[in-house]
Amino acid sequence: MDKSPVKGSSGVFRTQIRLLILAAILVQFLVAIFIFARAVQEKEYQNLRDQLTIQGIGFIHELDDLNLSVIHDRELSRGELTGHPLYQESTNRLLEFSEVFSIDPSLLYTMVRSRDGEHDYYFILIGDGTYSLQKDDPFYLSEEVQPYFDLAYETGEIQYPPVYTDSIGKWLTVVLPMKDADGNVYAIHEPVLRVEFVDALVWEAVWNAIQWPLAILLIGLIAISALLNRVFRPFNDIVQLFRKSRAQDDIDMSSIKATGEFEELRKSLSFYIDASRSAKRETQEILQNVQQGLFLLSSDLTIGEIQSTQTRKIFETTKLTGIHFDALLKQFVVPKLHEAIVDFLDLMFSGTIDESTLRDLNPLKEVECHLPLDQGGFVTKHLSFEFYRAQSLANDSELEYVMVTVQDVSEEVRLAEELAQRKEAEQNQMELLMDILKVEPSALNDFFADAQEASDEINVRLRGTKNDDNLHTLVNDIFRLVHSVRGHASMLGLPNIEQASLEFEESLAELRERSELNPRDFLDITFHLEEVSRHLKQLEEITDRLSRFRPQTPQQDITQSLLDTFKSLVKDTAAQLDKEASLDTSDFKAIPLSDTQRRFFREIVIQLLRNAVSHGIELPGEREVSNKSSSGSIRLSSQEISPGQWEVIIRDDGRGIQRERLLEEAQERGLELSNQDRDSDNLLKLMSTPGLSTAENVDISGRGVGMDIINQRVIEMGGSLEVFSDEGHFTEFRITLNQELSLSS
Amino acid sequence: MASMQTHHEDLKVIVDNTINYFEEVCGTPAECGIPYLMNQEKVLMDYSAIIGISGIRRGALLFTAPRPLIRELVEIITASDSPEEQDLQDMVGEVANTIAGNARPVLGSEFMISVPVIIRGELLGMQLAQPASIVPINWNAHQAFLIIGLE
Repeated sequence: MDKSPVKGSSGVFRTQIRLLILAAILVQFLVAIFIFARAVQEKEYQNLRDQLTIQGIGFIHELDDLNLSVIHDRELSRGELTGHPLYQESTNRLLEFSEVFSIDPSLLYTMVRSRDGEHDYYFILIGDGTYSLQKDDPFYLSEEVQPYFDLAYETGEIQYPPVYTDSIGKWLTVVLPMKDADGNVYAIHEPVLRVEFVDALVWEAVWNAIQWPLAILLIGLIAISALLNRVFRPFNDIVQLFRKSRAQDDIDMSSIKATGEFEELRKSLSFYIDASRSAKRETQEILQNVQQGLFLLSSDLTIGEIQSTQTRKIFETTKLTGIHFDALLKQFVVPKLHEAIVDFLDLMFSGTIDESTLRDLNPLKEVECHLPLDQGGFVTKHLSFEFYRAQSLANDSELEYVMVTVQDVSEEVRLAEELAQRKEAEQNQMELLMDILKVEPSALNDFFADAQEASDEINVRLRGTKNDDNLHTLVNDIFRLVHSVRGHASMLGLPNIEQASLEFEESLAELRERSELNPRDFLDITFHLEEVSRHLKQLEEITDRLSRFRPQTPQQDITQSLLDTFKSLVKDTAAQLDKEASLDTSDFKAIPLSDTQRRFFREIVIQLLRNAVSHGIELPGEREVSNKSSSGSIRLSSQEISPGQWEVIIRDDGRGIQRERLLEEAQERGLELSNQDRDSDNLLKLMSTPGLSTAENVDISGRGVGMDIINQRVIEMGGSLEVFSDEGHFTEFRITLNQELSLSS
Repeated sequence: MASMQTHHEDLKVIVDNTINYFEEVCGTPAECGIPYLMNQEKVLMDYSAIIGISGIRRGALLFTAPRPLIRELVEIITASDSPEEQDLQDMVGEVANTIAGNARPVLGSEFMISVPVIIRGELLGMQLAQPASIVPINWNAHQAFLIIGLE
C-alpha cells in the first residue's frame, strides 16, 4: 500500500516545484545584487563628478625613446573644464568616465576598457579640457599598440589598496599610444590626471540599489503566490487527500477549492475516495469482528499489512507486518514442525499439487505453541492454522499470496485433554479400585503404612546424608526399602506401585554398580521417589474413600485373609515362572502381633515364600526327574514353643540351597570365604550379603536383597533366623520370636 | 521410560550448570548436596527466582539463596564492599538467567523455558509441581537450593 502511485508521483512533483521556486528566488536575488552593484557605482560616480578638481594637464606629442617632454602645462580653473569631453558624461572617446573601474595603476590602461571591478573606493581620472580627439582627427586610438606601462609607473605613486584619507590627490601620467593616418605611432601624453579617492554615500547608494530589486522581488512573490494558490495548492490538497484516505475516514473533498481541470480531477478523486472509503470501512469491520486470525502471506513468506484484530491477540504481538512467517513460527514451535511448514508453504506457492490434497498435509492443523510475551515469560496456546491459495486479481497465472487463518483452540484442546485425562484417571482409579477391592482392608492399610514409612525413611536418609558419608551404604539401604515395598505391592497385586518400584530398583541397581557416586546421581532417586509417592497418594485417596464403606475386619479374619493372600502369592508367582506350587497353612496358628510386627512379619513371610518359589521349587519336568510330584509344596506353620516364644517355619520341597553356585558367585564378587563359611550359619550370612543372588529372573525375587532384609527385619522384631537345607530335597527357614519381650518393649 | 530417563539426565545437566556457575564467576567451586524430596517445609530463603517450564513436562525450577550468599557473590563480582539492595536482587536474577540460559539448549525443543521471575519472601501459588526435588548447593559455607518441580 505504501508504494501507491499517487504518493510516488506527488512526492516527485513537489520536489520539482520546490526546486523551481528556489531557482526563481535565486535568480531574483542575483539580479537584485547586480542592480544594486550598478546603482552603487552610478551614485558614486555622480558624487565624484561633483567633487572633481583639475590639478593640471600636460601633453606629449611624440614618443622619443621614452623621453617625454611636456609641451603644455598649465593650470586650469574649474570653469575652463566646462564642456570638456572627459568631464561630460558618456561622450568622451578617449576616456569615458563610466568605464574607469580599476583602482590598480598597473591596470589603468587596460581597465579603462574593462567592466570588471568590485571596489569600495573609486578613483577618478580627470582629463585635459583643451585637447580632444574627434573622429576626423589625424590621431585615433589604436588597439594594436600596447600601452607603455613603464611610463605610467614613473609617477605611479598610487598604492593599492588605496588608503582612504580625506581627498588624497596624486598625479599620474598616462600615455596613450596613437597612430596617425600614415601609420606613425605617437604616444600622447594624456592629460596629467588627478587621482582622487572618494567615499561613497552608502545610504543613498543602498536606496538607489534596492528600489528595483524590491520591486522585482515583490512582483515575483506575487506571481509565485498566485501560481501556488491556483495550481499547486489544489494539487497538493488532492495529494494530501489521497494520503489521508488511507489513514482515516472523515475527510471532506468539498473543502478543496479547485477550478477547471483541477475541479474535474477533484470530482474524479472524490468518487474514487468515496468508493475506496466504503470498501475500506467494510474491510475494517470484517477484520475487527472476525473471530479468527486472518492475514496474507506473500511468496517470500512475509506477513501482509492487513491482519484481523484477532491475529494480533492470538500471536500476543502487534508487530506482525513484514515479519517472516517462518521466523515467527521459529519462536514458538519445535524445529521439526518449523521445517515441515516451510516445505508445506513452498508447495502451496508452487501450485503443483491440488490445493485440497495439500491442505490435508497441513502440519499446523493443531499445534501447541509457546508464545513469548512482551513483558517476559510465555503463554502456551493450541493454534489451528489453515492455508488457502489466494489467486491475485491482477494476474491469473501467478500465485502471489497465501491466505492464512488461525484459530486459538486452546480451550477446546484443554477440555478434550481434561476429558481424556479424566477418563484415563477414572479408568486407572477403576483398575486400582478393582485391585484394592481384592485386598483385605487391613492388609491394604498395612501396605500403605509400610510404603509411606519406607518413602519417608528414604527421604529422611537422603536429607540427613552428607556428601562425605558412605553413599554406597545409602544406596543399599534405599534399595532394601524399595525392594520391600515392591514385594509387598506385588503380593497385594498393586501393579502400578510394583512397576514404579521396579523402575526405582533398576535405577538403584545401576547406581550400586558404580565404583564412585556423585551426590547429583541421587537426583534419579528423588525422581523415582516422586513417582512412587504419587502412586501412594493415589492409593491413599481411594483407600480413604473405600474405608467409609468397608466394615472393620475381626482379628481371626485378618489372619485368614493374610493366609489367603500368601496362598495366592505362591500360586501366582509359580505361574509366572511356569512352575506349580501350593502353600499348606494347616499348621499355622495366629500369633499375637502388634501392628508394626504384623507388617514386618508379613514382609518376611512374603519374601521367604517368593524365594521358595523362585529359588527352591523346580520346574515340573525337573521335579519329575527327581521323582517328585510336578507341583511343589511349601508349608507355613507356627507354634508357641514356650510361653511368649513362637517358632515359624517355612519349608519347601525344592532343590535346596545350591551352595556351590552361591559360593561361586560370592567368589566372583570378591567375597573372601573360609571353610567355616560353608556351614549353614555362614550360608545365611552369605545369603544376606547385599547384591548376591542366584536367581535368573529379576522380576520375581532376584534382586539379591531379600535375605538381608529378612534377616534385618527378624532382628528388628526381636527374633532370630536359621536356615536348614538339604540340596535336592528341601530348604527350611526357622524364625524364632520372643513375643513377651517384643510386646513389652 | 527411556524418555523419562533422558529428562533426568537433562535436569542433571541443569544442576551441573548451576554448580559450575559459581566456579566460573567467582573461581570458588560450589558443591551439590544429596537431593531429597520437598515436603511441606518452607524452603524459600531471602532471595529466589523461579523459571517456568512447559512442553512435555510442566513445572518450574526455583533457585533460592540466603542473603549472605547473594551478598558475597555481589561483593566478589562487583568488587564492592557495600552492595545495595537492588544489586542483590539483580544478582539473583543474574544467577537465574544463567541457569535458564544454560538450560535452554540442554532441554531442547521439547521444553520451553520462561524468563526468570524474582520472588521476595513467600511464594504464593508456587508453580512447582509436587512433590518437588530439592538440590542443596553448598558454596563458601553458605547453602542455596535448586528446586525442581516437574509434573
